[in-house]
Amino acid sequence: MIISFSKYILFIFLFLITFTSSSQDFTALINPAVSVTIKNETPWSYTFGTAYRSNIYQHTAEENLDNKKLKINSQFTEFNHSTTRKIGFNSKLSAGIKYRFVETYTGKKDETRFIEQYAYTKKYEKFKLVHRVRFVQRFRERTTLRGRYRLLAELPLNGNRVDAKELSLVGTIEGVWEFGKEEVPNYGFRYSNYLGYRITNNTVLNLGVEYRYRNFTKDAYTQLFLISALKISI
Amino acid sequence: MKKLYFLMFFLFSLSTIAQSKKKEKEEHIRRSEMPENAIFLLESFKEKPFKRMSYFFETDGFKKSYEAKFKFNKKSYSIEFTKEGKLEDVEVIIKQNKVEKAVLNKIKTYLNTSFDAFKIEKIQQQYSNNGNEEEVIKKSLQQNTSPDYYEIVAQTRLNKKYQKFEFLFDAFGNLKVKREVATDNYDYLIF
Repeated sequence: MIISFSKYILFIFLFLITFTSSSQDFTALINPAVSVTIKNETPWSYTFGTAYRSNIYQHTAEENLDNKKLKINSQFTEFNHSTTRKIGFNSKLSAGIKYRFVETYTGKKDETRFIEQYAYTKKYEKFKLVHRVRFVQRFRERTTLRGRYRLLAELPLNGNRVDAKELSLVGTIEGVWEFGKEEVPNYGFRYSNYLGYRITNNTVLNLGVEYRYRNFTKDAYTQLFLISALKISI
Repeated sequence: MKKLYFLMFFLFSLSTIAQSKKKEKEEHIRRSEMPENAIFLLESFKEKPFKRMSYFFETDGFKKSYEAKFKFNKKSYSIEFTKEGKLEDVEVIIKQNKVEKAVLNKIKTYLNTSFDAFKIEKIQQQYSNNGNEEEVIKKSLQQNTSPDYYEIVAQTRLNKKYQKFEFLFDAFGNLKVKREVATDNYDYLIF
């Protein structure tokens, strides 16, 4: 486990070096989040959460000018809720809402998002796989619609499952298609890699990075998110 | 800020209280931490091409035991020992079609009549210690031998209530033990 953890830290370090030294527009952000899921033996569960996002580093590659600066710019504070219904032994349907307080930080209009989601989960002998399809309606200055597909794999770093006080390694890949009446469709790709530390059987702490390659068919730009999330089930 | 800390502490405490169901815990250990008797018994099979051998210390409620896990003939084996290194049983993960048809039908009939719906997640052949530890392991390593028990983990639904159970059926498909186990949590992975 110690070897795997060292390799993981080295990987993250190389990852950061690669993208902070790239010649593309690049932004690094922090996005701490806390969520609480209330569930019982019925098919229903309810998740409530909050998150905060801020830029911490910006690199603008303009002609003959290479601007690199550490810049802390708050983006928003978010509150969200999702209601989930188990529709089979491995499938779940969710509907949710997110409200982002943006105006306070940037002067832009606050954003409301509606989310519909289908998730299919499967446990193999050693790891868990999760397929997720998500549709999102973003209401801000303009209305944007989104379709997303994400594949996630969780691998325990000790034994065949993640028990309390143990670590797991989680990797995700996700494709994002964004379109709207007032904008040209654009496509994005997201890749994340993070460690999950199970503090108790029902509390997980995630720490890692998510790399977003956005609008890659037109004016591509990249973002690196430092993931930190506390997820509690009660 | 104090209120926020209090809220976090309250939610964290609730999440700890919520762990009421029995759940096994496995801890990866070194070979040198296994009981001597267990290693001595495993040594007598050193000519067998066991792959990916790993060792675990397991707690299941108050019960503590040791396990050696490995692959043999493309099957996953788990040999369980007591704290003193005495063999408890050998478990081999198999597919549904490897269970004798009549026995599988009897097991499925029981599940069909007991629940509105079910999904078998895992079937293990179980070979119990009958006094001759070496013979028990030898028998488990042979192809197409009849085990003493089948241990089945299945997700179930009854009156819209989803639960997960571990069932122990004898070699003829008669239910011997049934116990509820904690369901796998995926909520932290889907949001």
